[in-house]
Order: sequence, then C-alpha cells, then structure tokens
Amino acid sequence: MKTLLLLPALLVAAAAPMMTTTTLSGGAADVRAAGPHDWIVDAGHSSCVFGCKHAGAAWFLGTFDRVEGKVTLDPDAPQKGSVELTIPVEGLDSNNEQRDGHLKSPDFFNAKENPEITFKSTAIQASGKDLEVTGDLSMAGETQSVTIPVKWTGDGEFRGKRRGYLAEFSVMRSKFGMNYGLAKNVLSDEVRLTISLELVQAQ
Amino acid sequence: MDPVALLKGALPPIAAALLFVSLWGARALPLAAGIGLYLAFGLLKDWPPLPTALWSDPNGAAWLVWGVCGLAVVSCLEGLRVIPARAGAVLGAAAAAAALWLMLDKLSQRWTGSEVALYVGTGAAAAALGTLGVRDALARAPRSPAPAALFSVLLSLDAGLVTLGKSALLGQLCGAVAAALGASVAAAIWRRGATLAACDGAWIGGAHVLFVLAGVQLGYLGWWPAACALAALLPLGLWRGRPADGAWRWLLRSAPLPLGLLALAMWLAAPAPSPYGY
Repeated sequence: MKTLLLLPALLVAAAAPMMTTTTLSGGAADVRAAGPHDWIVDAGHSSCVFGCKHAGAAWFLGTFDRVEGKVTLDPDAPQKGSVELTIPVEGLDSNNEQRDGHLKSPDFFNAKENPEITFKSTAIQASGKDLEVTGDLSMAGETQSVTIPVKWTGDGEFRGKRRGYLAEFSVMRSKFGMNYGLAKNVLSDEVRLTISLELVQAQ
Repeated sequence: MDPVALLKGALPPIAAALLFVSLWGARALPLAAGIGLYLAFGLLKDWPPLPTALWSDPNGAAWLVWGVCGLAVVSCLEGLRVIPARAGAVLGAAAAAAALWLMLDKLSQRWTGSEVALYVGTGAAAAALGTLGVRDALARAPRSPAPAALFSVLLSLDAGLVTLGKSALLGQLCGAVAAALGASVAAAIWRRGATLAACDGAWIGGAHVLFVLAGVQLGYLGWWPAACALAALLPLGLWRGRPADGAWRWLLRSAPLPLGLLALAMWLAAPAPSPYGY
C-alpha cells in the first residue's frame, strides 16, 4: 500500500525536471541565453502603423496587429548590436475588410506565400540614445536594404526594465514588387511606416 | 479598374493571337496565348524569373505563368504532330498536374503532410482531369469558331471570379488567356480554319483549373465558388455531340450549364455590399 502511495510522488518527482525543461524551451529559451544587453519586443505594447496616399489626396492609415522580435544593444558598443523584427501580414487592418483582402493578395503582400514582414539589421550607429539602424527589410518575397532613424522615447520599469523606441521611415513599394495602382497614382509608391517598440530586458 | 493596367493585360495576348493565327493558323494559338500571358505578367508585375531560379526561390504566380506556357507548348507540339495524340493527352495531363504542384510549392512548405496530400493531390488530379475533359469536349465539338468563343467567355468569367477573390493580378492574367482565345475568334473572320482541336484541351482546361485554384490558394477566393467553377467543365462531357453538329446547336446544348455554374460561382464569391468603396 505504501508503495502504491509512493508511486504518484515518485512519478511527480521524476517528471519535475522534464516540466522545468518544457517551460524553459517553450517560451523562454532566449531568456535563458540572454545577456544584460538583450531585449525582447513586448508585442502587447508595440505597434506598427502604415500610411499610403490615395488618389494623390490624403494618407489613409492602417495597422499591423503584432510586432515581434528581439534586440541586442550594448550601450558601450552599439555597432555590435542587432535588431530582428517580425510582423505577421495576416494582422493587417486598414479598416475595410475588402481592402484588407486585396492588400494581402498577390497584388500587394502576397501574404499566403510571404506571411511575414521581417527586418534584420546589418549595421547600427548610435547618436546619444538614438540609433540609426541599417538592415534588410523583406516583404512580399523581396528584400531591400533600408536605413531607419530610431528615436529613443524613454526608459521605464514595469515587470522588468523597459525601453521605448520610435522609428518613422518610408519605403517605395514598387521596390518590393507591389505595382498595383501606381500607373495613375491611385495609390502612392511611397508607404510611410511608423513602428513603436517597447522592449523588455531579457533576464 | 485602371484602364492602363487593363490594356497591359489584354493587348499582348490579343496582338500575339491576331499575329500568330493570321500567319500560321490556329495551331499557333496556344503559343500566342503563352507568349501573351508571359508579356502580360511582365508588364503588370515583373518579368517572371526563369524556372531554374524559381526552383530554389518559388513564387506561385510566376510558376502559374510558366505552367500555362508549358501546357501551351504541349498543345502546340501535338497540334504540329511532333508528338502523337495519345502522348499529347498524357503529357498535357502530367504537365497540368506538375504546374499545380509547382504553383503550390512555396505554400506547401508550410503545410502538414495531410494538407499537401489534400491540396496538391486533389488539385493536381483536378488539373489533369481538366485537360482531359476539355480535350474530350473539343474532340466532339464542331469545326467552327464557336468552341473558341465559348471557352473565351468561360475563361473571362474565371477572370472575373478570381478578381472577386481579391486578386486583380490573377484576374488580369486569366483575362489575358481569355483575350487570346477571343482574338482567335476575331482572326477567323479573315482566316478560315481558326478553330480549336482536341490538343487545345491541355492549355485551355489546364488554365481554367490552375487559375481557379490559384484564386483560392494564392488569393482569397472561397472554396464553394471555386468548386462551382471547377464543376463548370463537367457538363461539357454530358453532351455527346459530334463534330458534324452545327455550331449553334452545339452552343445551345453545351453553353448554358457551364455558364450557369460560373454565374453561380460569381454570385457566391461576390462580397457583401459595402457603403465604403476603397
């Protein structure tokens, strides 16, 4: 009987290390390997807004509902840092369901074949707390090098150290193979992107 | 829709079809459609990368264009009697299945094994059957421009359907194939014998199935409208006519059901009315 009572306890004890391993590898593998200069993008408090000019008149704005990624930034050697961002295209919202479908179609993002917009830095320069990040921006199956001015917006503390950055830049969509509506300037070639990042220090 | 973009999609296949059919007859029509489609894609989007480049960096729309071009070459070879009819039928079906597989190559890299089996397997089978079905229908069709006119209308409706699936590009490309067929009917006015033959089933049937499935897989066309559109070819096999039948008689018997099914598909795919255009 004692053996029977002991058996569940033994099973739990045997499973405990496995459960710990599962937890770590399930969500915090980066955290385990993180150094003091590693930051993770807090997707819940980061945003990406895009704007495109319609008929040469007004900028209509849309959002992507999620920005994910990680940033490594050593204040003493910013050039050794890295920025990796991923934006799922399925989360595109331009406040018009029909237009959302069109924007995700092969006319624009070709979202089914290229479900993510990605950015991977190749060089970082610091100017005070602001940054200038050069990297490869990939969307709709095309990759272009872009340089993005990134402004520091603040440091804070809420369930860990937090740091904010704001990036505002433009890309020419034709360089990414998105030619629809260019001929008569129905939709501008220039697309403005605003990315607000809240980073949480990895621990 | 932007008229410049419309012309970019329609003019190359029309010009190619008028030129090729006038110079070399209806056997050159598949080649004209393939070249017209390639030019339309280049003008509307970008010149499609060569298949060697697509092999390592696949793109569904580009593979679709090369797939229809490949089917056009098979039709042309059979039409010129370079390959026998039976080999042409098998090669056309195999080429359509392969084109479907390549078109879905990039998507299938993220699919599970069962999804690959379902979407690629059934899609490839549908593409192969599409070529054989149209081939059979054309073999029993009258030797007149009527079949080309009917298939031109069917492919035009496919183009509209795919556009309702949110992709103007795919719609225009399908419209380019339809435009080539339509132009061949016009060429029949001054050139006798601009008629379709069984060998044309490969590129016409293949294009129909490939574009409808591209609308679903690359665009946002629903499965029900797509199923109706794919089923539109089935009634063509029901009417066991003969080449000796008159064109009007053939049209009256063959056209209503496929056109009705495609109209139903478009009705199903039409978005709910919205007070906000975009």
